[in-house]
Amino acid sequence: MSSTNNPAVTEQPRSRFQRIWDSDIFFSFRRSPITIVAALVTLVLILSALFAPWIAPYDPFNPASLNLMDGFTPPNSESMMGNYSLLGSDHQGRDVLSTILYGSRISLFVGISATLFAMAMGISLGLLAGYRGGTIDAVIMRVADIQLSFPAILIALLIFGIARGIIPPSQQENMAVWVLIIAIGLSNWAQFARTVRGATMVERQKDYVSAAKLIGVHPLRILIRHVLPNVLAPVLVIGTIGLALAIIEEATLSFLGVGVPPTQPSLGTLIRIGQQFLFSGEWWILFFPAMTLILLALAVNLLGDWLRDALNPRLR
Amino acid sequence: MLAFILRRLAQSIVVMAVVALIAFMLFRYVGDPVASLLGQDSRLEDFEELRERLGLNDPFYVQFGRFIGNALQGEFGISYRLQQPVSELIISRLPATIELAFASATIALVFGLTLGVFTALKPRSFASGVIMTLSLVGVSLPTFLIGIGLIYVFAVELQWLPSFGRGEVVDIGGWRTGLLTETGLRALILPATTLSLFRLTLIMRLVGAEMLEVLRQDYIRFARARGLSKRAINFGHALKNTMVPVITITGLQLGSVIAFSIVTETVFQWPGVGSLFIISVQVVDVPVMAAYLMFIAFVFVVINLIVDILYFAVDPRLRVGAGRR
Amino acid sequence: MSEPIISVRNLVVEFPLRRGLFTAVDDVSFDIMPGEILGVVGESGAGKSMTGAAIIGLIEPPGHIASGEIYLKGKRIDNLPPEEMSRLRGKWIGMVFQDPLTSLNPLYTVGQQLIETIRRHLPMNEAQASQRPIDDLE
Repeated sequence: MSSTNNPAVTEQPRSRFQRIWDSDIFFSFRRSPITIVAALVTLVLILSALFAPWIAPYDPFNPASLNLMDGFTPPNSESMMGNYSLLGSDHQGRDVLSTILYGSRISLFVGISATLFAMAMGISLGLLAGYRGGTIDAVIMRVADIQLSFPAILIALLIFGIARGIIPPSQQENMAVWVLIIAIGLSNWAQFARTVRGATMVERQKDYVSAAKLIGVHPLRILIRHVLPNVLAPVLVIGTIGLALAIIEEATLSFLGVGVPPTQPSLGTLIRIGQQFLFSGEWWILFFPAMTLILLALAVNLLGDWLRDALNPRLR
Repeated sequence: MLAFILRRLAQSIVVMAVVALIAFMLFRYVGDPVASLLGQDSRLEDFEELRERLGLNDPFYVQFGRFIGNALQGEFGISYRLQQPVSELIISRLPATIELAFASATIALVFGLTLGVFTALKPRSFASGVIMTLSLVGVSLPTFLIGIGLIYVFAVELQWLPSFGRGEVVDIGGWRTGLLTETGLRALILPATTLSLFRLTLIMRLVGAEMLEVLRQDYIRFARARGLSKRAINFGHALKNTMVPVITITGLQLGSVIAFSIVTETVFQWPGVGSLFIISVQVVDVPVMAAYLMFIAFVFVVINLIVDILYFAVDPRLRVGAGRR
Repeated sequence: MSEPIISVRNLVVEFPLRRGLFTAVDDVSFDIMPGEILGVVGESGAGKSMTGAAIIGLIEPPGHIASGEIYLKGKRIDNLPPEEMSRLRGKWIGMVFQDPLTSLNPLYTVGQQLIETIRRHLPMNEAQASQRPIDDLE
């Protein structure tokens, strides 16, 4: 009888770390070089955005330090004032590398906050709909359907427009980022709600929920303790891909001029600025922010894709 | 079948009513219509008089009723910015958007379907790997960047295609079409491609995943066991079963093309309703925003209805009343 | 002595998995004579279905026949190109699945699927092909 390579046969005692390292998730992670690269890129981008004030070579948003004579420096050269610029400088003399670092900060902040907001809203509404059922469930799901069929940009634009009309002009700049976060969050919550609602409905039928009711423990607490761990996996996948979408959405809105205020430019705003100079030869003002945005979205998407495959039991 | 249609129709009307309510609330409570129409320097009496004339002091339901009545007749008020009737604005810009939407939907469907089927039938080929990678990149690229990129390559560097606008247009009985002129068609290519890319990748991945799933089913294995030819299996069976869920999602996707044109129209300065909407948001031109909202909702509802009926026609299980998948 | 209809010689079916090579069928040989019925008994996972799938040529990749031969009426069939093999299936070798409910495509009628199988293997037109199952079922 030829020997079969049965992994279950050779079981040696392994340390906790070894077990995690050998687990299926990390196995597929190690196997896929693309995912490793994607994770690294995401990490680098997030860290550099986080530490932007410390690692940026110049402070691009301090009007005092700006000098128009520094402007339009091509990449990897010195400006007329003698300041070295790795990625070039824009029309106002701002170093592009620095603007990108600060810009990704804003982009990531808005993207992550909006996604967290969508997650919180979606999970709560999902739990409510799944637990209560009946009319509440029908209403929430209908609204979710509507959100899912409208393009996110439209919803975000609408909310932004309404906010613009309601908030007095003096407050608008301060509130802009928060309005943006809420707008993007409101355009992305339905996927979470759907998933959580499904899982809640499944758990709600089970005996331990009725038992909890008898004892006097509020079933909602029990549900949260038992439903949430179950939905953690799909919520993570949706969240990662949602993050990529949120980042792109914010960039689009800022590009259109209805996103972050000009004093706090995100990558989208930078691209909008750069577009003016693309056709006159100063390509770097648009190119580098655009590349950063694409890299960021791509890396996050790759992570989400890998996560989805790794957590899907059927594909193994 | 009739009962089904009637039920869906009733639901559609409810959705439209809700959207109308939201649009109306927008109209009334966001910004001050009177101030926008008259300007800051008018006298107090003028404000009051206009308010009376516009019926802004009437009770809520009366105003709402009037709003709906007007809407049904296509009367949406006057744009704050341009001082023109909103309905005229929208109608004049509609053909541009519809042509763009149509062109991009066709591109997305044709290429998305073909590529999706290809990746499902030859999942391990090199070409499939390349296609899947490109599709991932496609999903990560914001539409406006694709537009800018295409403009740079084809309009600026290669100078093959125009970078903005619609080219020459021909008036056919009130419909301004760009399809009949050479410049019109050439101007359509870049924006239509840009608009189609996101949808294309989605359709491709959907069709690919769905078809792979179908190919794993027992009845496909049995079809092979019966000795049916590869073509009969792949196209007669697998493809048909794939189409059922694909039709629903694709249909809904195509309905949203019209709304998605916002970004593309702005990048290419395409004179459609999308770019109109963006400008109206920037200046808070509420009547236009509200009318656009109603219009989009209407398109969605109609498309949903058509898709549901199509679904019904393709999947015989629904006809027997066996319930949905 | 007559020839066996089906002859399986030293069949080995392997699956290259992530963690190594998995042998699903390990050196199986048997003959089936005309008119003979062979019952194969084994526990779940012993490889019964896999052997059947190997004979009819329907092993899902990455599984494959690693070694051995399969003969149908003296002719070797395990190394045939897919198009030829599909002509044998249904006509000369058939397979009945465990679950009848899922064996046919729910979007077509049973009749349509019977007819398509008949017309694939026999030179009949639509009318003749629809008559044949009725005749056979009586």
